[in-house]
Amino acid sequence: MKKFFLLMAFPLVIFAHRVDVYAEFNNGTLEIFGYFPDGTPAKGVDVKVFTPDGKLIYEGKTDQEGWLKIPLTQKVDKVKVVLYAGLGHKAQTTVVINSSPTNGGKTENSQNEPPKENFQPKPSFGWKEIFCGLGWIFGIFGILNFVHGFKKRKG
Amino acid sequence: MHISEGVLPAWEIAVGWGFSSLGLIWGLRKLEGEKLVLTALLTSLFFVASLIHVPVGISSAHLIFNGFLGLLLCETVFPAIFVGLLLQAILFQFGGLLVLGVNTFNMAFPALLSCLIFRKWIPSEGIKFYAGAFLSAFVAIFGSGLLISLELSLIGERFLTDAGLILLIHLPIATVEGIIYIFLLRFIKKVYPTILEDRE
Repeated sequence: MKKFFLLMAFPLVIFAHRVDVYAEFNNGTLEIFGYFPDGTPAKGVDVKVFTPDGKLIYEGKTDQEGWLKIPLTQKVDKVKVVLYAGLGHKAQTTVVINSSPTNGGKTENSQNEPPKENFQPKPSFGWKEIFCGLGWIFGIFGILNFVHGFKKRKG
Repeated sequence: MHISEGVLPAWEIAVGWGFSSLGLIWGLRKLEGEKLVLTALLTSLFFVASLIHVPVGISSAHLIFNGFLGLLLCETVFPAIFVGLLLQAILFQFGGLLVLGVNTFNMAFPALLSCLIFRKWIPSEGIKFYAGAFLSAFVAIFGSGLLISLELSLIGERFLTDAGLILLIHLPIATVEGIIYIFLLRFIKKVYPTILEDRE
């Protein structure tokens, strides 16, 4: 019961449908940021860092702002960052480690944008997508209706 | 609740697609005439309902409505939920395309059970109606939670805690939705009673 009430205090972990992770390598430090689609940081969630051959090299938790910063001592070309937000929610990305300390590393996952300064929560969905979805629904069922009517006329 | 991509092993995804395909084939065969129109409308309801988050104290929740779809659609609940989840996966990245089969089965199968058990209770009056409306939500939502928990617990020990918590989380959602179903079904009985009687 205690766990249940604890969970109710972290609603975004409970009800978020998706979690995302952004990671970059800067001046010898691997910086990882976990967040939900509305921009809310994924606080205190488990993060694991693996080498390309699947060896676990670091394990930790994000802080209250969704960040985890790891001084990377191992010499690796790239690392896989996996974030577990609980309740079956997981996100992962691969970071190419650049040996030049000034250039830093880049995430290979182009979908992930670096969090901007003054990162503000944004709506997880827009009206445009909702109306688009409704249009698709009526389109799909319209086609099914057409197919059914065609079969009925033929048969 | 959607299961995210990359969590379940391949065999669970395959089994999920297998069961969902059976439900989809059965549902598509029954999809015709007025039932098709009703299925399209309720698919829209399902698609939109889970996007609207309602603040509840310090927390927030959203409706699922799979039990409501189950009660009104019965066998065509599989195509309705499949299309709703497909569009949620494509447009909002909720769940995912690989796990679509598992997510469809998780939400549609308990909804179908709700229909088979409680559908006949709804046209009645009094306690039988209230019990039927409330329990149909409870069976559909708690059943979904049970299936998700089972699937997560089969992966390994890492997800055992998550599996237990998911069951607990579905309890308040099922309760709230059960109360909403009572009001919704009472309204439908007044304005469009044939929708509940034509499959008697």
